[in-house]
Amino acid sequence: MGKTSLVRQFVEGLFNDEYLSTIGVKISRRTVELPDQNAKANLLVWDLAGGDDYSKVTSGYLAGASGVVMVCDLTRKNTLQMLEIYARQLDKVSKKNLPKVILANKVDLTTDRQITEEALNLIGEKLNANWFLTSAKTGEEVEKGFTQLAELLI
Amino acid sequence: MDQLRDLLFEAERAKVESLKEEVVELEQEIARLKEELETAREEVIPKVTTNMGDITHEAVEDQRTEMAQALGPIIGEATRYQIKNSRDDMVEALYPIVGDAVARAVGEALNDLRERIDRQIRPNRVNVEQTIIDRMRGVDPAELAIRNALPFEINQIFLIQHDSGLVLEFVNRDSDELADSDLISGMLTAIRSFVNDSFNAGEEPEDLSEIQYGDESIIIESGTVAYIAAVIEGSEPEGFRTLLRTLVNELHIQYRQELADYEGDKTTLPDLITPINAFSDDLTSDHPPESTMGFSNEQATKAFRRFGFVLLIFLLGLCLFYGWLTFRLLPYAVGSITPEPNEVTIIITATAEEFTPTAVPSPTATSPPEPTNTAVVIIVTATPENTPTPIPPTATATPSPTITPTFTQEPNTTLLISNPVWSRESPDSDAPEFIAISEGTTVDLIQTQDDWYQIAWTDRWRGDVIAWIRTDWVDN
Repeated sequence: MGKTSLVRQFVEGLFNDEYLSTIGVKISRRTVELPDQNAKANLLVWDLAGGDDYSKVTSGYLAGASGVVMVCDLTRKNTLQMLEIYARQLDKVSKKNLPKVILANKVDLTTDRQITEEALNLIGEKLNANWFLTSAKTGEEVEKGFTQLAELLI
Repeated sequence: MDQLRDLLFEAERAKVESLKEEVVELEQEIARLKEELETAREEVIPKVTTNMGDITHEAVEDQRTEMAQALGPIIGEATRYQIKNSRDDMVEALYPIVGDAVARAVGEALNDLRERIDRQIRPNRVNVEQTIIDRMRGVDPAELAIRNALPFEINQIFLIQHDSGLVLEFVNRDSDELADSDLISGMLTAIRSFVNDSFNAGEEPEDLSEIQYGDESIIIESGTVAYIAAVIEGSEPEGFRTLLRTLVNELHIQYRQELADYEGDKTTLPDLITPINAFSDDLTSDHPPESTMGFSNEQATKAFRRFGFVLLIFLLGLCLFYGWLTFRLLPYAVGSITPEPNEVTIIITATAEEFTPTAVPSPTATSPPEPTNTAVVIIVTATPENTPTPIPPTATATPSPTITPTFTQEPNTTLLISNPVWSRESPDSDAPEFIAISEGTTVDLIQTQDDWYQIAWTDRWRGDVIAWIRTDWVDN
């Protein structure tokens, strides 16, 4: 889905990617300026390994989350359905209703696209989350997606 | 054909011949140069080396990264190859460098250890006190000195919110700058979660309490909403974890709600750095808190002081008692003094012509003190003519509770006190003790009243005195 590439595109400080394959998480940070709120948000991004298999995600990693960035792959339709499963699992672990944004990644691969904007609207409504068409390759909308989550958290 | 060939290739043939000649000349030139090079080798090499050195130095300065990237793999491979194939040579070559470095490092470490031990065993009040306490605990002071001299440093302390991994407070006591504390605390939290989820699945959750790497360790003590991770270096002092645990508990008792509600806004947090700094200052001072068997050093010191105070009072009491005893026994001067002697020998010398010694009443059952094991010898001699017959001692004298008081005037009889004895002011056991009569004193027997002798003698301190002594001390 390109989660790690998206995070790498966004953050400024991060640990080695090897942590992702060893303990299943990699933590990065990014301070985001929010001029509308006249504030700064210090985002600590926990990039979780696991991909399509939610069971591989250590539940303890989710317990302290303040917000969630959910990523799907526009070239693989089933990744959109996985978002619902992730959201349900997250609700079980988290104590509160977390703010979410959906990043539909690989928008640059226009010919391989399998997910329509209508489908994204539908899932966005279900999860109460805005969605963004992003590209980790070009950086398109990545900043915007994370910044909106930061605004929701403030 | 030959003529035709000559006509067609004459020019080429001439050229070939010319080239052959040139080759021969060049070969000769090369041979000559080789010969020259061989002869001038010693002169050429320094020149080339100097130039090569300058060129290399310039290249390294200008393109350090590129040079490292280019040479790294080659040097690495060459080193590996050399180590593999010429291990002994490499050891010999490296020993002077590595050996010196190791010796220097070990020497510095030993010096540091020696200084610490010196500081520990330098006599002072606290150390003497501590030594006594440790002796009482069965700890060898020398071993303890070495133990305390082992280096210990707290490099960093993190106070981290449990699930989120947010840093509530961070103290860096190390001179080196640390990487991003937020990321480190996040990774620590992730590692704890990973361990819990991976190794405690389905069981009571148990927190990760320590991570070790090299000389450093991360000691973790957990509270309900936050945990402390202390990055320490060296030998962890005894009781360190208990103190860390206490710090976590105290922070939770005081600020639990603030720690739980924290969402990243530092202004909502209370002052956490003061107690954390105080904790690490205490631990890294010259006298780190120690605890044994659940007692902190402070508790042990207090207990020791209380014990010392009680011991002092006891000794003071003992001194007062012996002082009083000595004062009371001063008149005796010698021998073991027994105010109520069990064994007295009285030598009676009678000078009267008609002397009838009065029967010495045996002690009555109701008249204290009751002499025990009395073995008294009475030697009675009458001078000059009459020898009064002494009443033989009755070994089985029966106490006579209804004895009638009698009074007998004694005729010029002297008694020689063979053992120290207390005299009384009146013929009464309850009468105050008057003067102790020392051994060898000759007293005049004035009279006998009931079971008392009235005697007179000259006391060395008081002069002529008259007093009473019990006759039952002079048992038969």
